[in-house]
Parts: sequence; C-alpha cells; structure tokens
Amino acid sequence: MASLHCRSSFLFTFHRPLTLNASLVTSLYRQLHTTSTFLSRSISTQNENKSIPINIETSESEEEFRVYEIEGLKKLTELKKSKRSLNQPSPPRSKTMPVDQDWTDVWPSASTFKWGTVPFPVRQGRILSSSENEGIVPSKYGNLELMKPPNFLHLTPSHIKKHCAVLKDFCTQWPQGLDTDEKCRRFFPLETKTSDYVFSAPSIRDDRARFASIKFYLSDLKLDYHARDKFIRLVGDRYNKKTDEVTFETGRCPLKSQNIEFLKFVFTVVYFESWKHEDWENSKELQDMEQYFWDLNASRKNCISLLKKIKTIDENKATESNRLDYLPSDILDEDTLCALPPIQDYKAAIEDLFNEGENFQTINKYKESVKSLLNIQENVSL
Amino acid sequence: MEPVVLRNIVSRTLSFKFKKSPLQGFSKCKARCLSTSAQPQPEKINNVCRTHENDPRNHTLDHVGLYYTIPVEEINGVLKNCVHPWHLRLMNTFNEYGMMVRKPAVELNGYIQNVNLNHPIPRFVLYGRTGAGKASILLHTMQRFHRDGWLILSVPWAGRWVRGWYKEVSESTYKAGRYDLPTDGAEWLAHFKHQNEGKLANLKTTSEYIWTKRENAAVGTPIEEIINFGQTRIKFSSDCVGVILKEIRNQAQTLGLKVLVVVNAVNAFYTQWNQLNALKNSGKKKLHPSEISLIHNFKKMLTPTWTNGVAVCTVEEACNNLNERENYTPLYLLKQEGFEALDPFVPILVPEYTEKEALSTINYYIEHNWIQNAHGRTEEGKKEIIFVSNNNPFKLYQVCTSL
Repeated sequence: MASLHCRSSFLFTFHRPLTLNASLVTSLYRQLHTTSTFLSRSISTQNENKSIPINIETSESEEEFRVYEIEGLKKLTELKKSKRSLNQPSPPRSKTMPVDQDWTDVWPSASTFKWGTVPFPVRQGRILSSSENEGIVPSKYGNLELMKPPNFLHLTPSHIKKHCAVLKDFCTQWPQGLDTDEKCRRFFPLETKTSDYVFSAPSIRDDRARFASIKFYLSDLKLDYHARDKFIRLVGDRYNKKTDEVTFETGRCPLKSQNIEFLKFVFTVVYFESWKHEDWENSKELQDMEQYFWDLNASRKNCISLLKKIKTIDENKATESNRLDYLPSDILDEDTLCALPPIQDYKAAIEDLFNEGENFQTINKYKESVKSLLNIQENVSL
Repeated sequence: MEPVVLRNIVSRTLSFKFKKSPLQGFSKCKARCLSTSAQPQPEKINNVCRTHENDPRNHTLDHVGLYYTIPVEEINGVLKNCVHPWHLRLMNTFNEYGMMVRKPAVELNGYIQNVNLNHPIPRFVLYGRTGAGKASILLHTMQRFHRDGWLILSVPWAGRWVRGWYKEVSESTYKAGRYDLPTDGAEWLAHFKHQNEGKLANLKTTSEYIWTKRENAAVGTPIEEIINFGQTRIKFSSDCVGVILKEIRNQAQTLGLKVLVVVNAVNAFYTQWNQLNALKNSGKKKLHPSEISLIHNFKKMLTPTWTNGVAVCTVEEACNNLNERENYTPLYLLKQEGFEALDPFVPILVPEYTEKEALSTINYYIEHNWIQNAHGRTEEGKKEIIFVSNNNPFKLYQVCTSL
C-alpha cells in the first residue's frame, strides 16, 4: 500500500509538467492504470491467501490502532461535487437598449422576429383552454408563432427616410405644372411599366426584365359608339369596365424595348381596326346586341301600334276624360311619334330597366313612365 | 276559464279534421257554430284592428291596415277557389271572413276606377315576396269590381296549367301541335260559371262553332250552353274556353261589358316548367306553355287588342324553375319574352306588412283568441312575433299558429 501511495504521488507530481506532451501523458496514464490493476490484484491475492486482517505499520502513526476497512462493507461517504461557477447569460438586448437609440442600426434589414431584440411586449399564439398557460396568450419569449409571419420591422419610417436620402442623389426634379394626378393623366395619357431586377450573381441578366405593359384610359381615345364597342370586344379582358382602363402586357420579344415597341404597335392596330366597318358586321342581330335598344326591340313596335290604336279611338269618341292629350292631331311618321316627351321618358325607363338591372328606382321609373304614357291616373283619395 | 279553453281545443281539432278530409263540408260541422271562443271580444282603444266599412268600394287610404268582413256568399261565390287554402281554413276557424285593406289594393282599385275603358286594356302586374299578400289583393279587387257588376275572368293559379302528375294531355282537335288539358278546361269553365252567376245571360255567340259532324253551336247560342257543353264533353273544354274568351273580347264593347281579367302567377305562361311533374305529350316531350291551348287562349286576353277590360296579373317565384327564383321582380320572373308580351304594364309592389299592419293582424288574432299564449298578448310579445316573422304576412300566420 505504501508503495502504491508513493508511486501514485510520484506519478501525479510528474503529471502537471507533462500536460503539453499528449502522447507522453496518455502513455503515463496507461502505465498508471496497469500499475494500479496489478497492485489491487496483488492485494486481493494477499487477502485471499491469508484471510486475516493485516496491520501494516507506518512511520507516521505508530501508536494509533488503525482499523482495517473491508472494501464494500461500509458505505462510502458521497463525494461532494465540486461546484462549477456558472456563467450567467447576459440579459436580452432589448432590456439594455437606450430609449433614444437608432432603430435602423438594431434592425437594418429584413429578418425573422428575434424576441430578445424587439423592445416592445407582444403576444402571439393560441391556447386551447384556460388551463393552458394560465389562459394567457404566450409572450414573445421563444415564441415560434411570432417567427412564422413576415414582419416589417426593417421598414419603419426612419428606415424609409434613410432609403430615400440615399436614393435622392439619383432622382431628377419633378416637372413643374404636373402637380395633380389629373394633370399627369391628361398630359401623359399612356403609362408604360417595366421592371429591373438587381441582384448579385455571376450573370446580371434576368429573364423577367423583358416584360413590359402599357396602360391608358379608353375615354382618352377618340371613338364613336361602334368603334368603342368594337374596341372593347377586340381587347377582351384587357379592358377593365369599372376603371375604364385598358392594359396591354407582353413578354414575347427578348428585349424590353422591343416589347414596348410591339405594344405600341398593337395599340395602334387595335385603334384603327375598331374604326373599320366590315361587311359581316351588318349581319349583327338582336341577340348579338351588347345591351338593350328600345328602338330595335319589339317593345317599340308594340308601343307605337298601341298608341295609334288609342289615337283612332280618341278621335272617334268625343269623351273628354282620360284622353291621351299629348298625341298630336296628325301623326306623320313613327319617328316624330317617338320624339314625344312621354315616349322618350318611357324609352329611357325601359332601357334603364334592362341595362341597369331591376331595382326599386328603375321599376318605379318604368311605372311612372307607363302611367304617363297611357294616362293612368291615381284615385283622388290616394 | 276551463270550459273556454276546452272549447277552443275542440274548435281547433275540428278545423284540423276539416283539413284532413275536405270532402266533409265545413258547414255541416255543427260544433263550430256553437263555439264561442273565436267570437270577437270587445276592442280596446289601442287594439283597433277592424273597420266597419265592409264595402270595398268605399275603402280609402284611411282604412289601410284594418280588417273588414267579406260576406260568406261572396267567399263561396265570386271568390271561390281564389282564397289560399290556409287562409280559408283560418277564416272558417274564426267563423268570420275578415281580410285586411292594404295599400296596393287601394292603389290598384283607384287605377282601375279611372281607366278609360274605350282604350285597349291596360295591364297591371303585382309583384312582391312570397307570402306578401299578392293573391289577397286580387281578392280585394275582384270583390270590389264584382260589386260594380264587372265580368270576372280569373285564373286562380296559372302554375296549375303547366304541371301535374298523371294529368290527361290530349292533342288539340282544333289545331295540330297544340295540347288540351280537358280536366283543367272543364274545371275553369265551372269556376267561370260560378264566379259570374247571373251575368252571362246576355252573352251569345256571334259565329258558328262546329265541334264534330253532329255537334255544333249555331250563331246566337248562349254562352252558358257552351259552358255546359264543355263540361259534359270535356274533350272540347279547352276549345270552349277559347270560344268564350273570344266572344267576350269581341262583344265587350258592343254589349258594354266591363271585364276584369285576373291571372295569378302569370309568369307560368311564359317560362318553361322543367321539373318532374311537367306536362308531357305522348312523345314524352315536355310541353312549352305556349303549346297548351288554355294558356294560348288566355294570353290573348292579356294583349291590348280589345277594349272595355282591365288585366291584373301577379308574378310568383314558385312558378319559375328552382334556379330562377333569386329575385321577385317582374322582368326577372317574366323574362324578356313575358315582359314584351305584357309591356307596357304598371308594376305595383306588394310590400310586406308595415308595423301598423302587423300589429293589426296580431290584434285580430288576439281578438279571435288565436293567440292564447299570455306572453304573445303583451306589447313585448307582439314585437317578438313581428321580429320573428320578419313582417311577412304568411310567416306571421305560421308563427302565430303555434301560440
């Protein structure tokens, strides 16, 4: 045992200076290990052989009677773990931010939500019941739900101001006199839209950059009823009825400038094509009409024949009441009859009813016009 | 208190019984006559719901929203088959034929009164939501002009002529490609005869009609004889209807007749009915309304080719196919074809109840002990009923049946 102690102490004394040489250390460890096993084995053989406790006298305490401790018989006192001093994580950045800091430095570009950086309290997520998270929506700490949606923390007004300040050098002065949108539209009726794509890559070409579109208002063009109708039919869904805008877009040519030229060419062709009257356009029938025309429909024929009938009856009967007084004594032709104000009102009402759709206004307008057309009077007591 | 409640239950059960077996005439139910529960109780001042002006000719805007009583002779005479079954059942239960004066009815009657009968017929189209009371306004108008001695040609519900399970459809003997509905024709003849009892004496045919080799109607045959012929030989009933309508059109002016043409659900005349119970010919082809001779004849009554008459029609969502019921307005329901046939017409909106009218109806029901629930008789309960029924007359009736 003494030899063991001295050997091990010898080894440990030599351990420290030898740390640099890794191979040597491992060899020494290996040596130690083999030595210890050998020693323990030798002791155990001694124990087995003699089977009685042995008192080994030492030079340090000769008087004291030492007790031989059988290994494993008595419980070993637990070794105290050495307490390692833990490094405390630094508090989140948001706690140490000054109030008057520049936010654009904190959040310079688009990035995922970082709970430690965002200085305001925010909650996001769903709790299933009042028992979960004490019924409170989770806070920002480690909250995945806040990381999922895109945020606009990189696009605050101060960011935009900085962007604008940088871009200002590249801008030219706004032309004088174009102070309203209305004037812009009047003096520059054709709006061209193209896109450039900037990115860092071996090639600076982008396939999408060739697309071009032009936009204009249909009311800016000089078109009569037929040409306008034909123009709308030719451009199809490129015409927006609500805003009265026509938009042409293409990417069929390889270059942007070629595409713009092509669009202007198409615009010109459609314009002149819509003014043309082809022979086959004369075969347009009532069903092909884009809206209801009273003059072309059966209603006009019925109305005129009815009024003529009433006229002959009024002439034959001398009764004064409930005559149609607005009818002239001699009806020359149908067109002059149709120009009479009650009939014009009736025509407008019926065209509204069909073209605008049925609602209380159009139906009541129709009702009033029919009442004046046929001279149907309400009762006095009404 | 108890006997009253019991009696009420008896009267309700009897009305239910009547609903189940219509063959059992309601006049034979003696127990109802003895029932006092439906007897009107004296009105309180704030629960006024009836007017004592029972003559529809005197109704003005002052009477709007109030109930008046129709004599039972007119319900079983001129208005027979025209009252909705639920309405008639309710009237029978109340033992009183009360009906509300409504603004569109007063308006319509005013127009018709002022019409120049020498002009070709004017046409009026009533439109409104289902259950708003279009048919009831027709009743009011028919009763009013019946009292003035007008001839009334009414189609209680035109949808009946374009549909039916196992209904007999035969090809017209008069014109190929047109189809007769013998039973419906005979039914209408009976209806016409019943409505115009005593007004047809002067009407005689002006031309000869040959039905078969042996059967014919010479010039001067009374119209009643034609009706009887159509009812006995129902093969020719549709043709008889055509003859009667034609004679009325031709003679209205010479005889000085005043004719009121009433068609309920006129859109059935112009829209193809596509459901399973649509009428089919022997070749299983669904019939278009214009191919049906009854409808063909009645359409002529709605054209302004004749004088001394007025046509009043309603448009009804239920007569259009299931995918064409989004709107209740005339042009939508009639479509362009029907609209052009009736144009120019005066559209008259039949609105749902105003608050005054709804309260009046609820008070009328309370007066007849129809609303027995104590809460239903309070101001709050009345408001609740109006809210739940959304001011719709038919819905109001439905809500109140269980109270």
